[in-house]
Amino acid sequence: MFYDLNLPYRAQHDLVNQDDLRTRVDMLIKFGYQVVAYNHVVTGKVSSNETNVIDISDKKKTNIEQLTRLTYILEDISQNHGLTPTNNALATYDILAVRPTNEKTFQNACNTLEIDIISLEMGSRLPFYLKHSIVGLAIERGIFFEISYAPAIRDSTSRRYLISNAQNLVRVSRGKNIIITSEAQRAMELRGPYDIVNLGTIMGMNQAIAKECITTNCRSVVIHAATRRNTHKAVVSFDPITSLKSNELWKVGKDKKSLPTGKSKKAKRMRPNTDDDDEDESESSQLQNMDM
Amino acid sequence: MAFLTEPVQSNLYVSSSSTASPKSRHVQIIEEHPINHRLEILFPTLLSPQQENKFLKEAFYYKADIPLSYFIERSFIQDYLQKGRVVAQSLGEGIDVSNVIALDGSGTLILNLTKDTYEQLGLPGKPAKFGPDRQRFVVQINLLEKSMIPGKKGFERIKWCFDNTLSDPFPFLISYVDSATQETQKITFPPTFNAKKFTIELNFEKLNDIIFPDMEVIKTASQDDHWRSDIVEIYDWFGMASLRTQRIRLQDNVDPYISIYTTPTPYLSGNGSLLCCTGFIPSSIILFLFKSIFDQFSNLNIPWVALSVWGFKDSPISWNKQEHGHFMSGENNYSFLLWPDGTYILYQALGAYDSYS
Repeated sequence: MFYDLNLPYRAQHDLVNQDDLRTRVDMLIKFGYQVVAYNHVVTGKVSSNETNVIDISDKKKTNIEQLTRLTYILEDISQNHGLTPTNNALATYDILAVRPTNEKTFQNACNTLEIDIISLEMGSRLPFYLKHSIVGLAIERGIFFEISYAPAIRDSTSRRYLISNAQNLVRVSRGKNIIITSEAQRAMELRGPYDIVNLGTIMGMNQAIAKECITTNCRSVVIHAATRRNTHKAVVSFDPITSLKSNELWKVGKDKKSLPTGKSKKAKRMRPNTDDDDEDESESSQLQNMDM
Repeated sequence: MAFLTEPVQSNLYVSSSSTASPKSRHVQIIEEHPINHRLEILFPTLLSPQQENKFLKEAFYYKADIPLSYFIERSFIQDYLQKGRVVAQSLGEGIDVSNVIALDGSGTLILNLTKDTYEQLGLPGKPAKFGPDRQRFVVQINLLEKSMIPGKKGFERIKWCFDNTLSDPFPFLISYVDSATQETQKITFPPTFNAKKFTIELNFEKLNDIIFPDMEVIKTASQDDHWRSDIVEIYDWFGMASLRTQRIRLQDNVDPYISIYTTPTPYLSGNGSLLCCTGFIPSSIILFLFKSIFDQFSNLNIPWVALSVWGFKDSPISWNKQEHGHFMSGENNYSFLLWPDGTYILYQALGAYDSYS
């Protein structure tokens, strides 16, 4: 599957520099992408009851999987961004990303924040150095670094900075935990997946690793985000049986022809529950091994 | 960057033999490459309609939405698999993107699956040899085994999986060739499969005033570099001919800014004919055309003939059930350069992700 996890989304009334979302998504479908994430960028302090501004209800019919993503621009670590393990207010977005603007916020993001992607402003000189140790910490926690390629297409100075920053990031992270996304504001700034692989070779990766950056690594990001949102300590997740599609009913036993109304009949355990909380009796529990 | 190794490159295997030789593998090469979509034969002369007719052959294939449970049904195995060769290839997204299913002509069902599909499927398989570590898996089921009957545990498990965990139909291209007649035969599908029949198209095209390289130069194989570079240049020329480009025309005077291609010397000018065959082509048709070329060599009075076959880029197998994948390209094509006395040179082009050698 080819992913594009950064397609900027603006509210309907601000369409000055941006192509219609539909145009860009159609271009992605034409290029052969299967998953897209609409990105909403927020600066400054966020309230704890942030709801999803991205409206995908009328776009359900397209044959591309659509996700929503929120990117915070971090300027100050003292602002409570609510990006801690206990905050659930941001669960309306599928993927969480941050864009640190100085060394302290970058260190904070790599060490403690509960996020999926760290996005860096690659089109201009980075205000801080990337160090092996800090980047390594983020990699260990399962966080991915994002390289967006559209700034290189928009502007020639950005192109120079982007390539040199990207080479730097690839060197520091040793090619691991990197995803490549578009950040395209116009359909003309999008490129096909195999072109992105070739672009990756300019950034210092070989073709196989570059291909992983738009396939396997993006899949890991999506799963990491789902683990963060849906599961409790990455072990247990609860889904009601009614959420299963008709071709998935085998998951609860072949003979279940009708959907139950209440109690669980069979709880299938694949791994022991290491948590102390009790099971919710009104739903059937399903242990999911979130394998990346 | 010194610490990152380069991945493997595409390969071109060249071999030389003669159809008269008992060890010649030409039939094996054609038969073991079952999944093809295009064939071209290049004759270095114009053909009369009577000569063209000798190569025309009726053949057809189907496109249908088939659930995998259909392939293990007793009726399918007895009526088709045991009586001939059934070849099928699923359509859909590429082999580096989503699931690909194929039936090779000898009764093996090959499933090349994404990690998510495989983990849900429940049948034993191996990790794919290519691509990121453990992201794709290959399941091979031999449908002609004696144990593939209802009642046996292995069969029942496969049936349960195809009815529950992977029950969605896939769009397939499928063809059936009877062993007795070596002709494509009809397959009766249930109406829910939306099966459509297509005929394989055979068209002749004329290439007028073309420059042909002299093929006698490479007829005898040798180990020296001169022969090796000539071989590759001739292969490039076949590609140019297949594209019907202007660059191989006699009067071509293109600006060097656009192209500096020159036909390999020595060369001579003449007219050519291209027989193009498109569709889901079974190996029996290719073998028929191969044999027809030799039958017609004396009638046609030409020094050589080139036959090229293109496989699917997203096919899960190339030759002899060898695993195939798509990296930046997924070619698995072959070309024969044939001489009237039976000598031939075989080119096999394989993409980076292929285990045939």
